[in-house]
Amino acid sequence: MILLKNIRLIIVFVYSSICFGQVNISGSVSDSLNPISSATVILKDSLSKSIIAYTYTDDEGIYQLKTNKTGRFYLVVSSLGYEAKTVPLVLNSEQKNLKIDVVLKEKPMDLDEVIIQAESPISISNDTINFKTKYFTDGTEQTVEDLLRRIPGLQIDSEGTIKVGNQEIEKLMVDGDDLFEKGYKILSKNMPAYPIEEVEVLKNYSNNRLLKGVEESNKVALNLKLDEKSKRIWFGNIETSIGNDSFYQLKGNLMNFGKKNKYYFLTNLNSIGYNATGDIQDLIRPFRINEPASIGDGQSVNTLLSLSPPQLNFKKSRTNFNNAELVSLNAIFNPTEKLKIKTLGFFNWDETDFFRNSTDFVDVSGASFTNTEDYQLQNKKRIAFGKLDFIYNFSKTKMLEATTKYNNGDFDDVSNLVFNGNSTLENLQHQNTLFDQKISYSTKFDDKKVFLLTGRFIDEESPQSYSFNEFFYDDLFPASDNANNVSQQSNSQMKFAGINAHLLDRRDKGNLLELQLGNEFREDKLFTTFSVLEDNSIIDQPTGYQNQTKYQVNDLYFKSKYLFKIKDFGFTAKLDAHQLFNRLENNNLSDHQSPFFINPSLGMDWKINGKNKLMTSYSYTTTNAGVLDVFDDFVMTGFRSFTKGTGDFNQLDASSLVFNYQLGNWSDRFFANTFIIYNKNHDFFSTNTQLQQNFAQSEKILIKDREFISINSDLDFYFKSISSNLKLDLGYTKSEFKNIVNSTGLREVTSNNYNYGLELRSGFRGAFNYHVGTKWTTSQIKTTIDNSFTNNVSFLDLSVVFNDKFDVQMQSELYYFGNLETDNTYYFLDFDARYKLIENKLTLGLSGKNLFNTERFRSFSISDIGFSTTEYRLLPRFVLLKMEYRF
Amino acid sequence: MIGIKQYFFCLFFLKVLVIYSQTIEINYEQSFQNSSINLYKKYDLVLTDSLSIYIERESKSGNKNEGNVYNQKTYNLELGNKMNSNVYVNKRDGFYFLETFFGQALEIKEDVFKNNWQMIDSTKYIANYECKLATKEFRGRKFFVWYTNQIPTTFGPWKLNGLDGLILEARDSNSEFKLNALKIKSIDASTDTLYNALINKINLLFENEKEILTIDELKEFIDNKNQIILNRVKQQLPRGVSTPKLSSNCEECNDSLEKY
Repeated sequence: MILLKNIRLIIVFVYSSICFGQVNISGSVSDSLNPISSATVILKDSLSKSIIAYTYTDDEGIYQLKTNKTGRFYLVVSSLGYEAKTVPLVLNSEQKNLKIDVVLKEKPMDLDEVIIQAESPISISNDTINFKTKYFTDGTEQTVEDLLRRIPGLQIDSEGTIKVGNQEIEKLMVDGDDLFEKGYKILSKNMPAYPIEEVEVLKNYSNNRLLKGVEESNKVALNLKLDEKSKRIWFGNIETSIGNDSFYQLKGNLMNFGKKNKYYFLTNLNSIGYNATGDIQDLIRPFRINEPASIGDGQSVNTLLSLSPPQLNFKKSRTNFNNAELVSLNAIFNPTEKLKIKTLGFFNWDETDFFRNSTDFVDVSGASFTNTEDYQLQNKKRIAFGKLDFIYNFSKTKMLEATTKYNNGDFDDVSNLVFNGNSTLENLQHQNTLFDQKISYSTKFDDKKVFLLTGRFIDEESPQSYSFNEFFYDDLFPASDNANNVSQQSNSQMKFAGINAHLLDRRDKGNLLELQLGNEFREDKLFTTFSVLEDNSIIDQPTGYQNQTKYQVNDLYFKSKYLFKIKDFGFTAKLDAHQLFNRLENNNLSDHQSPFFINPSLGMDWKINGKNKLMTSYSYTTTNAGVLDVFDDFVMTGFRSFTKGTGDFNQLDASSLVFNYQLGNWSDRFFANTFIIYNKNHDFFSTNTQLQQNFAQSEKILIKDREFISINSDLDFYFKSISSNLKLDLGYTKSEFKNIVNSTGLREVTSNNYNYGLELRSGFRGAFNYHVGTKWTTSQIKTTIDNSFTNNVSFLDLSVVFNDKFDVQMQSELYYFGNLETDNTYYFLDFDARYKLIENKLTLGLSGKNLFNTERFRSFSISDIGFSTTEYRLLPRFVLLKMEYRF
Repeated sequence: MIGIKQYFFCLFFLKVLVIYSQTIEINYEQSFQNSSINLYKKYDLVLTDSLSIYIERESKSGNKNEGNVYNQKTYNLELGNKMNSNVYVNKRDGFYFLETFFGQALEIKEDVFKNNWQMIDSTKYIANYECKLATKEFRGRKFFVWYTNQIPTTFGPWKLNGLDGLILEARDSNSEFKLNALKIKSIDASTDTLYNALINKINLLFENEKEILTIDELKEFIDNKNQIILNRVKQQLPRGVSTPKLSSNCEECNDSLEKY
């Protein structure tokens, strides 16, 4: 009896303990009229907000949740299109069933395409700005240069110089490796754009990885990142173009950018005026200003004579009648992790023709005449260049770099010149041989301290042989009666040996101390022989026109620089001390000199806030005369010019003041950059010229006080409403100097230049884009007479992308010359149409240049002795049919 | 009499009500990047109260800006085609997904997701939505997500479900896996033909029970494939070299997104 009762009790107790804590929450969810199915019911802990359990309502709107937790909770009921409801509830062990019915209020979500976040095409981190190219390109880009023009903040000028904001890049790397240093144009003008996925702009870049964070660098570099499928495979393209009148172009690129080894072969053969090397000089002689371990940069042989086309202010390709062949082989090997070997070699053959007619009006005291020249220049050149770089990383903090360069150039320049009705022939044959060896050892002996030791040896020689088949110099050489031609043989040689020790110590708060101790020795030899000939026999070698100059300069120097930062200000103080040993031997007379001088410099930059930056600096510099300033006898520097130096030692002093204000960053809607530069040369080399119709003899003289001031302002506005960027460029330059012409006594020459330009460039996403601009230039030269003129250049570029396969680019220019009475306006029209036959494989193109067939181009210029009008012959209209194959 | 009529009338209304349910579509960008893999894909998440589909969006390759491409999206679900879009579907009776393993497109039914989301006391705004932070361990990775209560749903992108709001941003602790919502919009289910075609295709896809693998069956499949590769390697080894063994303890093996 009692047992049965107990058993029932036990069962009851057991049963309730089994059910202990298991609560069953259920109910219905409706919208006051009808049940809501598939509504979400969530049980959340009221404190931790974590979700304990969740379920959905069934077709009748009923839900059921089970939990064995106790405490305070929220029951959250929601459904799309309704306002969610939160019911607070308390669960304790005694409850078994809870019924909670919920009524939801309708609230349909009005989502009219809410854009949360676009994938950022630009990402910025520390010193790197990364651009994903697919957001900036429209498929019409052929070369890397075309691609970089589309990246905001990068400026590419007409010669292909790449700048970030206002600063030229140091190098253009591909996947972290650099092949060409400052000679990057050979890469940007030839490498195709299609394999590039990202462009990185690296600010505060250091060429030497150990200096990163230690040296004060505002240098920039670009790094192109390739897409995955282009790595580790051979890829490239071949483009052939054929046009009328034997205009042709053949371009080929073959690349393999693997992780261990990178290869880049390129070739360019063309007759359309295109200069594929960019500027060969940047490849052979890259120049790094004031950079650690840059000893010897900028030391090159000085030559006196050159027959080459002048710099004009429009596309050089229009006057460059050429037939060029370029082959370049480049490779980077990483045989071990510590060793990197770079090789660069190129061969360039070029035959260029240049045509010019000019009329020079000279009006100066004692000389008033007009010269006419009909000039046809033919330059033939053959250049072979090789460079070998070894970089060995001993450890993370020690590295050795050795660079060897060899250059061999052969030039043959012939000019057919009709001078004042006389038919003449000039011939200049010259060679250039360069050997350059540099070794640099750098060690980072402390976290922020680096020591570099660099040695450099350069040997360069440039012999020249010049002949002119007329004799216009009776007044100079009265004794030579039967002379009918002249010739000059010259040889310039330069040897340089230097050693430099450089210590950089980055202190706390960002202060930087730099100390340098070095010795640089340079020897220049200038041997010139001028002969007066009758037919083939030399009848005279006049004294005063022969040079046997040997000029040796030894510079022992100590340089110190301290950069001091307080808050937003940075102060730089520099003090350089130089002890020079100069020795000059001129035609067996020798002299020496040991000047000592100190050059101080002070600078300040102030970062007013994120958008405003101010920079100013003052410096006093002393420049030692170079070999071209010290030779004593006349040298022929052109068919009607003779020059001589001072024959003596000289050091020139100058003071300069720079002021720069920057408002905004190039990525802002509004960006302005203003530069004011004031330079005063306390002494400088000017000329004392005897000017006659047939010849001019100039002698270098030392004059005091020359001033130069330049004010330049660049403004950029971005107008969102028309998706276009407006650029305003204003500048003013004034320079004053003195010279002597025809024994006038020292006369003052003032030159004023104003330029104002406007550019509007669109950034439409659609098919059509434009770029229009105009630039006015006014030049004025004042001496005893006043000459001035105003020119205008305007351009309009249109780009139409019809679809993925077909696009057309059009470029038109207008030149207006203020002082020409007739023929003062010139129009040019170029177009490029491209059709992609097979996507990424085969592209056909049609391009036309100079469609208005402007054959001649006349321009006007002024100088301190008069003015001249010059007419250039231009490449006529041609149309090319192109085919490009990619693999 | 009147009762039955009213009953049927109510039933009719119920049917109508069941059809009406708001549908929203969210565009995501999902990327998985580490030293050996670099994947970047666009996905669409289409969800209603009872169903969610997270599907890879094929877009035209190349240089067009995203604004033009959105209207030309396509989904690729032809079975047997190696370039299938990945699909992840949340139905009431379970979670299914389609992915390509060793060149084969497999339909898999997921195990029930563990309810192990932990809330972290942090809020931020993404567009106009107030988002909270939550974290969970899943298949060898720790995920951090930002989700918003203002869009009430337990469905989410990829395999991240079970929160009381829509996930707008997610990443794992190594920042190798990243997920971002780009656009949200509502869909008119009655007129959007692409959406309806998608629903039909998905229903067809996960219809045949026999074709659908479980996670254990998937593990077996992966092991078999790895073994075949290993055998081929063994066949080519020269005499005297000991045979290698499959090991899951290697540094590079942490490269896949999920560890089954």
